[in-house]
Amino acid sequence: MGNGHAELDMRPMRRKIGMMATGEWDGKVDADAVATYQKSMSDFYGEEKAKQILIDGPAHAIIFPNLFIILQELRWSVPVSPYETYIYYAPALLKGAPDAINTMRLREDEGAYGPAGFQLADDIEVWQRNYSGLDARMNEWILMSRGMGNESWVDEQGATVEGNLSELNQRTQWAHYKDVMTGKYS
Amino acid sequence: MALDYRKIEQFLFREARLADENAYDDWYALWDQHDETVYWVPCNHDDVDPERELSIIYDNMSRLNLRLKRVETGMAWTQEPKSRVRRIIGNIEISEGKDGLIEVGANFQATEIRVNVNTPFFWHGRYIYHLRPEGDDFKMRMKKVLLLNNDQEMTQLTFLV
Repeated sequence: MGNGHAELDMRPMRRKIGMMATGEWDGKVDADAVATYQKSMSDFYGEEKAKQILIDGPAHAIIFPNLFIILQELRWSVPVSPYETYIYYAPALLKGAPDAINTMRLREDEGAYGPAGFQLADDIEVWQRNYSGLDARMNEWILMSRGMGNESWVDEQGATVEGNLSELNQRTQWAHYKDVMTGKYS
Repeated sequence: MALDYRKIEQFLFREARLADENAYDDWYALWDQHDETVYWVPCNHDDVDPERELSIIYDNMSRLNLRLKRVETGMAWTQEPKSRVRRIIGNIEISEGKDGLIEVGANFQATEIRVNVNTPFFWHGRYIYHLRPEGDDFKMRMKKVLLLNNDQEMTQLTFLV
């Protein structure tokens, strides 16, 4: 997208499958709440547009330099020193949605993220161990090549698109960081 | 209900020791298998409304079971190898709670050592327990952990606090 911004565009895959984001709530929240939410989306956007929004789903993007939109989560990182970074996070709740849906989103966020979550805590552990690895005098690079050389294409809005497991976001962020910090724009 | 303070204290100490020693099965067996059972660590402040605000942990029994099972896979990197932990519990206050439950408050200090980090981590706060008497013993209906630093940046919290 330029200027260090990138998004893993899941829309082509999601459109192919055709499942709405609300379908991922099955069994986690009662059907009445889902129906209420879908109806309020239709009332606001019209039925077709509402359906498209729910199929396309949330974003998975980096806004340069440090804002991450990861599905229902917002995350922003703040460097403190070469050896310390704070990562702040917050779930995006759905304004006007039934309480049960937002409560479910809170529980999902707690399950995945935060100091005791099942994903981020371990990710951070791996990053920390990478830093220990960088203290080594050999093999000092971290590889962020996942997805490089895979099929990529330009979508109808002009953005470069790669597969969902690509590390395109990280490469884009750091490529632009390098440009900024080496004075390319000064 | 006559509250046997001694017995309640002994339960708390046993619960703390099993958590310290990462004895997951025995620790999990202390919980009350009930719809309303919750293992709860509030986030940002102590009086979180769990329906509207985020917590650090808000586990029902199924989520808690998953939490423990996940560590056992060996793929939970913060607990691979597992933390070494010892905690002290004190200032124990015991009272009758609602619905036949016993409400207990206690302060705690825990020291955690992670094998890959040289500096120990210190955790402080207050526990609130809701205990359901069962025969000669108790089951935990709630354990709420009020961390002193729950409104600050925090390192991983993946031992059983």
